[in-house]
Formats: sequence, C-alpha cells, structure tokens
Amino acid sequence: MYKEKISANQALMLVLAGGVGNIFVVIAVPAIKDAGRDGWISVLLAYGIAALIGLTLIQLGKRFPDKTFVQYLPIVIGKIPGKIAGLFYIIAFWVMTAHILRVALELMKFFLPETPSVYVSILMSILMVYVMKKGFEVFSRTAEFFSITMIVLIFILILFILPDLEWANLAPVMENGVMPVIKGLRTQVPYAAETILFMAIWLPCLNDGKKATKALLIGMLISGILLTALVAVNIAFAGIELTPKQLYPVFYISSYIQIANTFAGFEAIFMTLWLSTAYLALQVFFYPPVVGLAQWLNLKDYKPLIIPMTIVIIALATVPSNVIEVLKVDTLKNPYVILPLSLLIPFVWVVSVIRKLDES
Amino acid sequence: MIKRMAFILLLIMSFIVVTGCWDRVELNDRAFIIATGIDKDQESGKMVTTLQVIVPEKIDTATKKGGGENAAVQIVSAKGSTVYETLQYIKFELMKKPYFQHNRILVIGEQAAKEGVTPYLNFFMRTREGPERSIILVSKGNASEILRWQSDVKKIPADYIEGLVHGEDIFSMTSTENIHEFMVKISGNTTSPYTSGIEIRKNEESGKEEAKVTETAAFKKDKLVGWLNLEESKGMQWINNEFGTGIIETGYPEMNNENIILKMIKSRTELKPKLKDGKMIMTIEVKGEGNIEELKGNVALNSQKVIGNLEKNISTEVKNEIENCLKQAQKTLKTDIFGFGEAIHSKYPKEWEKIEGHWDDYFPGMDVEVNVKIKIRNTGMLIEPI
Repeated sequence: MYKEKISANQALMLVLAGGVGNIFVVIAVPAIKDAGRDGWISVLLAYGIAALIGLTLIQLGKRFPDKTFVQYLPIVIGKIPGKIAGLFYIIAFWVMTAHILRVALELMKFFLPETPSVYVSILMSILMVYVMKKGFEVFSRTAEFFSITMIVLIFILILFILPDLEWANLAPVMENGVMPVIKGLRTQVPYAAETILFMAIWLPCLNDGKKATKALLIGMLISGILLTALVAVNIAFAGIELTPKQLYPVFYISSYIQIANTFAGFEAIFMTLWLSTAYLALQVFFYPPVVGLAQWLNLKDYKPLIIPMTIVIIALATVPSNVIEVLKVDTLKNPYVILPLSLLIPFVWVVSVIRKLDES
Repeated sequence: MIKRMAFILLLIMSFIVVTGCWDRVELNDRAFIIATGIDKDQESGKMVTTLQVIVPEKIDTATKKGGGENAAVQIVSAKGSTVYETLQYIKFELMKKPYFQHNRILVIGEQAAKEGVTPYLNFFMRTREGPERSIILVSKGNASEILRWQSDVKKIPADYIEGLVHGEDIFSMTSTENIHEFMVKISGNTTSPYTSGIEIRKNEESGKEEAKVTETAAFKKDKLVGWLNLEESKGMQWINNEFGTGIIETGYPEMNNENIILKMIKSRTELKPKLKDGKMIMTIEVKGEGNIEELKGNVALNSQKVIGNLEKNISTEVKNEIENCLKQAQKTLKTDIFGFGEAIHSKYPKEWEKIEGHWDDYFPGMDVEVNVKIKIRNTGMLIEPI
C-alpha cells in the first residue's frame, strides 16, 4: 500500500495545505468572538501547540515507521478502544469533508445565486475522485503548486490592505488578562491541528523520515505567522465589533482593496484563492477517511472505496438547510471533534513510551 | 481510439456545463451607478433613492465639456420603504440591473441623517457588490438636489463632487469618511463618525448653481447631531491628525493683523490621556512644520525673535481653532468624534471599564489640555519685505 513516496518539499507543501487550507476564511470570526482583541495571540499560540502535537506524532512515526495512525492505534491502546478511536477519526474526517465541500459551495452561491449547487458540488467531486484515483503522489505534486499560489495570494491581500489599516485597533493588548486567549485556544488549536491529523496518515509515505520534523516546523511556522497576521489585519481593518458580524471578513477585505484609485475588484483574487484552497482542503480531509477506512477494514487497496465515499459526501453536503447551520457545524466540530482527536496523538505517544512499544 | 474520442467529446461537452451561464448578466443589462442619494420623504415617511447612472455612449465624444445635454449620466429616482424596494422600481425604469461596484458617492439627506443612517447602510454592507469604499456626504436639504446638479466641467457630476471633496482634503477644510469607516465607528459604539456636508449654492456673480463643501456633519452614533463650521472643521482635522499639509492663515498683531499664510509641510497630532487625581485629562499634542507662502505688510524676517514671535502667534491661532472645535463638540453637540474614548481605552484599560458605561455623560465634562508647537522652517524667497 505504501509504494507511494513523497519528497521532503512535498511534505512541507502538504503541511501548508492543511495548515492554511480554507481555514483562512473562517478563522477570524471565532478567534475574535472568543479572545476579542487578542484573537491573533490565540492563533499564534494555537499553531505553537499544534506544532508540539506534531512533534509527538513524528516520535510515534519513528516507533512505527510503516504504519499509519489508524494502524498503530489498536496496537498501542488496545484492540477494541483502538478500533473505536480509529473509526471515530475516519467518520469525523469523512463528515468534515462534506462540511468543507458545503462551505466552499456557500461562497460560490454568492456569485452564482441561482445555479443549483449540486452541479458545482458534483464537478468538484469529480475532480476530487480523479486526483484520489491517480494516487497520493499526484495530489502532493498539485499541492506543491497550489500551496505556493495560496501563500502568495494571501500575502498579496495582506500587503494591499496595509494602507487602510488602523493599528490602534489592536491596543490594548491583553486587557482582560490571559483568560480570553486561553478560551480562544479551544477553537484555534483544532484549526491548527487539522494538518497534524492529516499528517498522521501520510507520514509513512515520506521517503526520508528524518526530514519530517523540518517540514513540520517550517510549515507550521509559515502557516501560523500568515494566519496570525491575517487575524491581526482583520482586527486592525474593521475592529472587533464589525468583523464578527460578517460572514466572510477576508472577502470583505478583498473587496475593499483599491490601489492608486485605479485598481479595485480584488474579489477575483479572493475567488481564485478560495477555489484553490477549497480543492486543497477537500483533498486534505478526504484522504484520511479513504485510506484510513481501507486500513481499518484491512483492505489491500483503498481505490474502490473512493467513489462510494464521495457519493456519501455529496449527499451529506446538502444536509444543512442554510448558511447559519453550516457555520454552526463549523463552531461545533472544533471543540468537540477535532480537539479530542488531536489530543489523542500525545496521549497515544505517552502510552507507547510507557508500554515501550517500538517496531523500528 | 474510440476511448480517446469519447474522452474528447466529454471534454467538449463539459464546456456547456461549466460556463456558469445560469447566473450571467450581460454587460448591457447592467446599470453602472456612480452616485447614490438617500432622502426621507416627510409626508409619506418613506425613503427616496436617487441614482446617478452612467450612460457609457456619452462618455467618449468630441466635446469635453459637461453639463446639460453633454452630461454622461442619467438620473433616476424612486420612493419606497427600503433601499432594495426602491431599486426594484428603478430597475423597471432603466430596464437594467443596478450595479453598485462602481458607486463612489453616497449622499444622505439631512433629514434622513438626523434619523439615523444605519438602516440605509445595511443594504450597502450586505450586498456583495462591495460599495464600502463610497464616501458618505450629508447634504443640506435633499440629497436628490445634489444628485441632479450638473457640472459644467465634468461629464459625470459625481466625478466633480468627488474631486471637490478630495480637493478639500488637500487644502484641509473638511474631512470625509466612507461607508466602511462609518460602520466601524458605529458598531464600535465609542467614537462617532463625521463627514463633509455638501450643498448647492447660487453664485451671486454668474448666477450659476455650484456645489460647495463648507461644513462638517458631526454624528452621534448613527444620527446627525449638528454641524461644525469651517473654523471648527479645521480644529477637528488638527485633533484627528488629518491636517496633513494644510494651510494656516493668521494675523500678526504687531503688524495691524496683516495676514500670514503658512503652508504646512508636516504635522502630527497625538492624543495622550492622563490620569490626575482620579480624573481623566486629555492632552492633545500638536507638532508641525511649515513654510511661509505669503506675508502682507512690513515684517523683516531677519531675526530669531521675529520668527519666534510668529511661531507663537500661529501656535495660538491653531490652539484657538482646536479649542473652538472642542467647545462645539463637547458642550453643544456632546459627541466624541475624535476617538478620545478609544485613546483612553488603549492607555488605561482598567479605568476605561469604569467610564465606558457612562462615556456619553463623561465626555462633555472632560478637561482637555492643548499643546501646540508649530515651527517655521522656510520663509520663501524673501527675507526682507519688499
């Protein structure tokens, strides 16, 4: 199953794909709602914590070099609890893929209000299935292209809005002490840890296991700083009262940009960014359940699972009846699904150290 | 081979599916709006929306002059309960879909502004066409008068008005804010927005009607509460650090109050709140440098003493402007258009918690200290009077 190999550079791009992904659109509102003016500190801390979780994952990877998270879970924490935890991981990511698809469609609906979203969703799914069928190496190569595009475009957005920022909005720092920042971590750590949970499945693919740490740290540093800057820019641009009232604050920023009284309409850049990151995020979330389920069921190949699982995703994506429900899912999934899953990684590592399990 | 042919056929067919034709709007079905006016109709209690719509075919013709037949805009207007409702009626009139992406000016009638602008701005913040950058102007009288006024100089009157406002910015008369800045302040609940007022005046000599920006509209939350005249507007620009490279005009007492014109090359204002015996005192520190552009009368600028005296004079003049503005804002209008509250909030978060609840009552009674230091750097090409 692991004939597929990826390079260290591709590993870095995968970390970025999961670390920034479509998170940049949704991160500001929960960060500001929980931590107020200090939302950006929350984000920065969260990426630090997620990097630490990633380091424990790499330690686990060293103990089980040929196995993924789903495979060594039953070995470390016992057969039945391990299988249950693995299934939880698979189903969670499966459902979240549908959620990501829906979030992507919600924004498309703004621009194509009358187009039935099921057509767009089927087109996106065809792309998803095609890339998955071609294998993980193909996705890694596309990630090399799209991750760089994504970083550059977000950077351009931040750069061009700089003249319109009011940095005084960021003061005073920590006016209510550290508690709001800690409270913010509840939703921010899961956002940052999504990429680590994705890494739990592709880590054995890396051709040179030693490069994993470097890829992880650089990737988390870039995505952490970029998203921290973005949240800070959001606060500096529209303040902590107006920003959380908006559905997509980053879209608002992009539509406000104007250069030299002439160039405007940066929504186009935002949409390019949005579509490419939606593609990345979909793959990031879809790969773990497909491969994980195959391993969970001890199948030889994961490819037959792709199409049936995609059909479930298309159906699930139609479940929320409006955009408010979609956002509700987004706020619920973080503390109650991804947070326990991401905390499972250090826990499994501690157990494996105590039980002295090592297959290398 | 058949497989490949089928694949190519599929590709070609996909063009039909992925064009996004479903929601297409042809370019000539769109009405490009350049300026919007909003009024409140007193009799019916409904709102009136007036739009200045670009007529593209008239923009590029041989005559460059504007006004009358040459104007490249069409004015439409409709009455209704909401902005969107009026747009529906306007759609029928134009047979085109109004499109706000290029909207640059939003004129709000005095009456509508007095009753609060948030209900009208809601539409502009909610639409995805992104008109947040449009500047807001408050018209004395009806907004529709401003929209219907035609410029002799420009084919698009809105262009002229925009230039007028930005021109006023350069010469530092009044300040203008856009929809976004308004919304940030209104939702922030501490600082209140302000913007330029606009009116149409009849020129006594030529008998022509002219658009003029003369006063600053001061808001409290989202409601217009009053006006600052030109002097006070200048003071406000000093306080808000927006004076930039404006012009100071003052008299010199030892010289029968003959005029001195000083053009600033840089200026900077800082709001520094201070806590004295449990009371908040706001200190406004103004620093600036300027060049003398014109000096009527007989003054030789050849000694440090004369320059020093001039500097003192000019500083006092600026201080007076600032104090006049403060008096108007604190005592008469009772609205914090300067961001004093936010300044206290950033420096004294603990004290701010106590004040925040009754800031509206606290602000008018606040003591303000004004320190102005203006330096003369250059006297132009002359030292001695001619």
